[in-house]
Amino acid sequence: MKKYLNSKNIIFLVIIVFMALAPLVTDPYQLRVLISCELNMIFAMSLNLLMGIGGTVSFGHAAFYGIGAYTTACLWYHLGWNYSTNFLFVILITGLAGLLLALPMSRITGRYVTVITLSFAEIVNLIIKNWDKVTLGQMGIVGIPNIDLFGFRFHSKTQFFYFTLIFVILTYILMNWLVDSKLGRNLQAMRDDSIAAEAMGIRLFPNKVIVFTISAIIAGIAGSLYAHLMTYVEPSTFNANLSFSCISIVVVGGLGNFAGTLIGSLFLTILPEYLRRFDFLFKYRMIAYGLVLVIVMWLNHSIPGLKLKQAFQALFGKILHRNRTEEEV
Amino acid sequence: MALLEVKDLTIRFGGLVAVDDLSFTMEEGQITSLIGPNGAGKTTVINLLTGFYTPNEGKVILDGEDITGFSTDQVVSKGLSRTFQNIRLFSNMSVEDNILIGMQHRIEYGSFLSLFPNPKKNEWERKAREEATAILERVDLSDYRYEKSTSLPYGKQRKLEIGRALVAKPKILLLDEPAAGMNPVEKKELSLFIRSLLNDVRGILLIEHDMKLVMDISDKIVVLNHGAKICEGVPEEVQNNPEVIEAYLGRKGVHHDVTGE
Amino acid sequence: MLLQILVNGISLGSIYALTAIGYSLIYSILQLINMSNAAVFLTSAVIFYALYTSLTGSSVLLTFILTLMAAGAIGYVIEVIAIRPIREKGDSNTYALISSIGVKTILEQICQGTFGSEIKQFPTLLDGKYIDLFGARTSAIQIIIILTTLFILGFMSWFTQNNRVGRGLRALSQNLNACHLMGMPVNTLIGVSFAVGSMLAAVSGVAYCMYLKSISISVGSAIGNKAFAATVLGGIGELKGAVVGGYILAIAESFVSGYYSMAASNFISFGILILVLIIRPTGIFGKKEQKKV
Repeated sequence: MKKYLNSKNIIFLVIIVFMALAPLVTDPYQLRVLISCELNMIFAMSLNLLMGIGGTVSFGHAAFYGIGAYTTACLWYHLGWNYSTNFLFVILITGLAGLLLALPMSRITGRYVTVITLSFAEIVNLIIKNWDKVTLGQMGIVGIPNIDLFGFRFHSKTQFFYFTLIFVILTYILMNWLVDSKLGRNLQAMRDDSIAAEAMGIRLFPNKVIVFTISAIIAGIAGSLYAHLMTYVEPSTFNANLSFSCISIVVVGGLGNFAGTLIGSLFLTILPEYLRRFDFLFKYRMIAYGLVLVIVMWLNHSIPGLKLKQAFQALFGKILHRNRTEEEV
Repeated sequence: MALLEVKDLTIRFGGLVAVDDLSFTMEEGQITSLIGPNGAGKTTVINLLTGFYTPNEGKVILDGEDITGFSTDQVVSKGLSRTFQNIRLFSNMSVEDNILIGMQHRIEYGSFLSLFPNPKKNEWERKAREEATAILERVDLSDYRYEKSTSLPYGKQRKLEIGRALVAKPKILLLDEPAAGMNPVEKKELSLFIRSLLNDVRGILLIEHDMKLVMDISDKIVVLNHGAKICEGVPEEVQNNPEVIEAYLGRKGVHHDVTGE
Repeated sequence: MLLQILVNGISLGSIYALTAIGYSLIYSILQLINMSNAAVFLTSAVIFYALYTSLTGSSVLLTFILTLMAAGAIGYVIEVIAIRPIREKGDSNTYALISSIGVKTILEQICQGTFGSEIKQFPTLLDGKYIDLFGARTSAIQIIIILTTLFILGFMSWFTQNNRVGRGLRALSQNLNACHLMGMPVNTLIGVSFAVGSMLAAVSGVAYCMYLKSISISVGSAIGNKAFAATVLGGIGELKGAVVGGYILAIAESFVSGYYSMAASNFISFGILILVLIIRPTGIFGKKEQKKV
């Protein structure tokens, strides 16, 4: 039991307890922001698996989010299915999409990963935009109902909130199981030194495929929940900027640090909403996502395993340290 | 029967013949060394044996089984395990996790069972950690178990790398310049350690620049020059072979450079 | 029809090529994909618009020169603030890449905040003037764009071959560390190359908006992605590759949109890109990487 009592899991528990109590005091608008937070948590954890553990920076993760959202939206629109069946198809289709993206990874390394993931997202977006018969193109699909599970329809956002919270918890636990297993260790070894990993008998390609598939499925689930939260989907939501925001969240929280990702999601979802209040900042509120990337990279990037604590240490510790050396000289 | 038999091994990179018609054998319970001047093709031989490169011609027979052209993961499971010239540890993982990677091909649960707790996974994880404990003891790193691997001092990183190769339970251990960057005292300690490794594996293939170390601990030496074998035999024979002396010095004469004194 | 498509393709290709050189130049020196390049494209166009409408009256040339200077300064500052600290710690390029994405987001958000999200009319040159080139209706601005690009390409190749700074840049792309040890002003040179890349992006940004006669906040990402695709197609890090890749993509696009549809033309560039990456991952001119064990 003791091995589960580390600082990350405690942070996780604290966040979950606070989140679980939050609907008692929030107004509908704040609750909506918190649900966005939850979706970002799931989405960013899936990317963190790929980036922090798998060592592959995906610049097109929004594609899976979009595929998840559109799968459930299209199934509802064309076939009238409810979420319990759609959910299975979300897993299936986003899993296949992840598999598809992982296939070229056998031939390419380094810089081309950036290229492939970016182009993949671009192509997915173009398909969504232009496949009018299925996705209704630029217009998007509107009027998606609240989640319906085996005939039980959620009638409030509070229920939606708790339902999503369950996914946050499950994702976090899954990540911890995965990291502390043969698969997780192999992925980390590949991340640190792929040639040494190969020499230890790890087959790179199957592991890459698996991590891409799992990551895609989780991102897809987050996307499918998004569709039911917003009640509409449109292509422009799932563009490169969404992928980049997700990278921001992961980077702020720390690569390979899933509790950090939860903090990052809270921080980067709530901050821009908070900035809305100030007239002069309103138009510039999304700059936070960019600033955070530059600042965190600037302060501390001796990762993977960049922790928020370290970032703060870098911020305050560094400055002190610099003064001291100047005095010595 | 020889433990490892290399027959007519040849690889060409474009026009360059990096390894040229190389044949040698390794016997059970012996340390065999592969030496040669810089650029003689020693590391290429290791890369050929471990499946990083596929030979153009020739055969590699391990313990009676033809493993020519096997992929790296197959080679590892057949019983060849290596270390690297420039230490390649998994820098962001703990010492224990580095060891666990070494034995990953023996852990018998797959990726799906990795995703959630189940009896098979729990059982293997327990077993793996027990073995890791034993190996860490063997390479004298028990105190560093949860440290980050790159925070270890240089000599201990070498030992960790050897431990990582040992835990794979190989038949043959391939050591690529293990003494690089060590001082004489450390080298002395290392040569004793390497010798003791014969208790754990059935044969050791050593690639090394340091002649004294090689002459001290090898049972047999294979000398390469320009990718081809120029001499094979026990240390004394090799030391006195005129061709070897010429390869090292470019002309006949000065003797003590080869003998390492 | 055929010639008309070719003319359109070449003018669009010029714009891709100029932006693509910016990506390749930085990549050849730092092995860094500088994502902020597309945002500089947008920012320059916005600066041009703002200067033209508010300050400089109607002098296109003066506005253009001021915009170029601003873009160069922005490029240099990006390097100093976002890239240099990471570079000097000797960390992986991935972190510099992430930092450059941060810069891209910041610049885009500033543009969006100041400029707004509507489409506005952009000043152009010699509006309504056409030349008939063997049946292809070629507008004056197209000719200006093509000629300017040719001039810049010529200048760049002369610059990198014969000039002191150019030789320095070439040396940097061969071996950064050695240059450092040789006492070359590495930081200044890298800063300059960011400035040059940004100025090229500025030229293409302004030229593109003049060509469209309009400006909106989305021009940056649209062209940025295409230029990036062009860079990879030609072989990232190769200047001539960026140029060739830019022209190939643009001509292919204008053929598809000419004979088929606009929507399909968007697919074609990424389709070509994926195909190239599968068949020849290093691009047309890229050199093969040897796996080092």
